[in-house]
Amino acid sequence: MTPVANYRIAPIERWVWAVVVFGQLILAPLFVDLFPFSSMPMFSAAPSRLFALQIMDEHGRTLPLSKFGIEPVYLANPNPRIGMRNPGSLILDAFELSALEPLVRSRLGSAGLPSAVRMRRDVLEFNGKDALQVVAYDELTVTQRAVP
Amino acid sequence: MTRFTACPAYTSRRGQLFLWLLLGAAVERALAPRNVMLAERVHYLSIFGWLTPESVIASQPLATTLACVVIGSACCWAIQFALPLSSWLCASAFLLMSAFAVERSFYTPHQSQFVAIGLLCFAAFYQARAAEIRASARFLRVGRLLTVPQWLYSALLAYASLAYTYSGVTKLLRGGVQWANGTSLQLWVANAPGAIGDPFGRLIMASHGLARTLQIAVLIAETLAAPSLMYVSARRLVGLTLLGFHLGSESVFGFHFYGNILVLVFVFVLEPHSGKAESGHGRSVAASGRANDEAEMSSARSLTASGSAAARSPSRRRSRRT
Repeated sequence: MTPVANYRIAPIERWVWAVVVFGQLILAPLFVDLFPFSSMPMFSAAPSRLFALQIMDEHGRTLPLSKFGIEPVYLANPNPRIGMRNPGSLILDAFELSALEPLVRSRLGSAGLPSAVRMRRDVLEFNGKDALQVVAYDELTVTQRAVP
Repeated sequence: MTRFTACPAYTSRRGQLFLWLLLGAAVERALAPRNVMLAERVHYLSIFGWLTPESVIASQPLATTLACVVIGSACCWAIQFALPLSSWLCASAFLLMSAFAVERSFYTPHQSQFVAIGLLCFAAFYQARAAEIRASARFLRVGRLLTVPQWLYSALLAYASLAYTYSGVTKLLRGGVQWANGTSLQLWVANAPGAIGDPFGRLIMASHGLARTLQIAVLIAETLAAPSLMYVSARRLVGLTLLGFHLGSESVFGFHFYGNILVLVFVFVLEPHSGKAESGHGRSVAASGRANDEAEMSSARSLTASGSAAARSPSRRRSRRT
């Protein structure tokens, strides 16, 4: 092995060093996320509340969100760089039930799903005593055909 | 550039261990479930996004092939077989596999970045020193004479410290110092599946003060990661704090940030010499490096004596130089 004192950087090593250091120095703050360079912006928000979604059938049983094509994502990042979005991408940081209504309706009555469901959005906050509690909620009933 | 050539960053055993663990982290990523392409592109998330057709990015057979190439070439690299081809194959296949996985995602997963950069740096080093590393390798005693150079250490240190400082500054810009209010961490723990069952998660949920203290520590350590490079003790403190943060996150959330953990351990915490190495202290470090080399040289001689022809060339070469 080359003695350490005589170690000379080869051109390929010099190039890789430059790409790694300057890529991270310049590309990461410019684009936020451009793999493999990143400013690691996850969990940069400071939320004081949390939203949760449930979809229930007429008997009050909770149904899996994936059956409705809903993919819950919690980013904790107020300005995320989104890559691929499907219609059911649900950012749990903040969402409206009405925005999900068409997607849920399109799945009703198929693949073993009932013809009507109840969507419920809970707003959770800390009560100041180390406990998370529902401070507000809203509900929306969705049927297979839209009520005029 | 010459200041990066003055002394080694790692002894051979530490360097070899670092590489093996990085390869293990790459294999873990390759075995992770592969996501499928979603519907609508909003942004490109990798440097390969612009260059690659979406049909290629979405291809599941290609994703599986790349994962197999990563696993196979990582095994070859770990036993110093087919160098430097196996090292470049592993680094480039991992980079592509991870980039395509990122492109298929809703939001960038950050688990692969430190592993990808670490493998890229090691591949360049192996390319430059392939002949010597090959000659020094023995069955079950692989990489005995491997001494990782300073440039590799400095590249990883710059990459990691910049990433963490950007992350800390982003938190300060978006949430202000109020980011470390304890409530947000408790909300994240409450929201993570299975986190409440974890003992550390329960501890965070039980004490708002503890949650706030942890967030303050992480905010300070992340923001000061780059400035801390000026002082060895500060760098180690920052490294240990961030290491604690990642180990805690693994326990509570299970994020699989193994690359970050490895870089923090081997670059921030275990780095072998101070920033004073370039001046007076540098001589003693260089001397210890030479002593280390001498020890390895004598080991190589003993291998030579045992009749291995391949061991002769490096030890003779070294004798002439010294």
